[in-house]
Amino acid sequence: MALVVVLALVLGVALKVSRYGERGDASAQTAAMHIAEVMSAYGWSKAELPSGDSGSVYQQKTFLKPGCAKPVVVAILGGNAEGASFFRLQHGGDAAFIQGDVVDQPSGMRRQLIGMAHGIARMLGVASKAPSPVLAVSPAPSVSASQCSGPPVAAWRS
Amino acid sequence: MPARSISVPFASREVAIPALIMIGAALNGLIVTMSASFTEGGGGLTFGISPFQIIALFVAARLSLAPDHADGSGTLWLEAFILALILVPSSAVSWLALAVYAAYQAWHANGPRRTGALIFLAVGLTSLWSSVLLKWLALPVTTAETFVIAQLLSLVRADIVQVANVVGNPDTHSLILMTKCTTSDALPHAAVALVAVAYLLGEVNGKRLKQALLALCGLYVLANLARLSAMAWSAESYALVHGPIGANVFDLFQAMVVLALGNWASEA
Repeated sequence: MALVVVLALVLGVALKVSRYGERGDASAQTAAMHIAEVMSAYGWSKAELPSGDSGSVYQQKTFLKPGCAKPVVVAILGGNAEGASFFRLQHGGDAAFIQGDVVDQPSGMRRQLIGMAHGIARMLGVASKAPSPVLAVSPAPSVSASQCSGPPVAAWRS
Repeated sequence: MPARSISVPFASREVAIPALIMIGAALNGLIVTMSASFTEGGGGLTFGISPFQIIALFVAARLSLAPDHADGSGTLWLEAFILALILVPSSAVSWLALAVYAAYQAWHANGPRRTGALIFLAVGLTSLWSSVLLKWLALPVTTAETFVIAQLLSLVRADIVQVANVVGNPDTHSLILMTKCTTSDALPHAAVALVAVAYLLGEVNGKRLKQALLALCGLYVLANLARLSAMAWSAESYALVHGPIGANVFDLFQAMVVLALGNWASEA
């Protein structure tokens, strides 16, 4: 019995090391690539401006489009997305968040449930996309695509 | 001449299996913290694990390995269910498994093993609180603490503005209150460590333990409010308080309070 218990505990540790070892930069890099793809599909290109990062709270990128006066700012929120309110303040309230869908406020519960489902799917050998960090977009995406308001809601849905 | 033998904890199923499962579940729960610590290239001697958790788990493991006449082992189906939960690659699920199994042990064991199981239960619940529940409630909890900081600061400064978990002067310096900086996150772990220290040092006086926990709550709330208020005051004070000097001073304060109150509570 003791041997079975020890084996299960060691296997549990190995599964967790495998899962948590893939986190961090990998998911942030995937998110950065996703942002670049969506923005470039609508004609926006990354501006070489100071990033305006807010420490570990979020990494922010600015995108410009010829003929459009205002930029679109997209940030990858770190931690538990606690930077959401600050991002919204910084952009005069005109911001929305991408968490699978476009939402007004990111949900910690949804983030955890997605992470847990991913972990269980991995354990069962089912291919599952690693959970993406929450993204912040300003101005908030609109339902209909227009020339200078950034990619529409449908472009951010996953 | 007959051979003499003594009971080694891990040779006895009644003693070993429950303690082994609880220690293993706790280790599985800590993997997420250790992995993050390795990924970030830091963590120091404790691999990113809170010293309070280490103390509490050490004391809980020590007490759980104590001999007991009662049969503290669970039913086979319960142990199989707990092991299945531990296999889920999620540290949060492992903390849940620890809490469930420790609750069962606390119900059925006696003496030191019951105390050990109760400390394991407290560690499991506080870890679930920090890693799951508090994240669900992140915005209301951080907003509530930020509101209190804003009220304090507005007594001496008229330019303080608070919006959700952001407080400060929007034109100069603002503090974004993170979940892991809140009193709601840190205080439960400190309280469990205080109880563990008290039981590690000897006989515990129940009345004193309650008073010590109340004193810890009061001191911790005041100290963390002062620390966060200083962080929101200006960029310079943020650098001082959040930097190595301020962080070490606050860590030392927490350790001294927990050790002193734990020692006081254990004096019968």
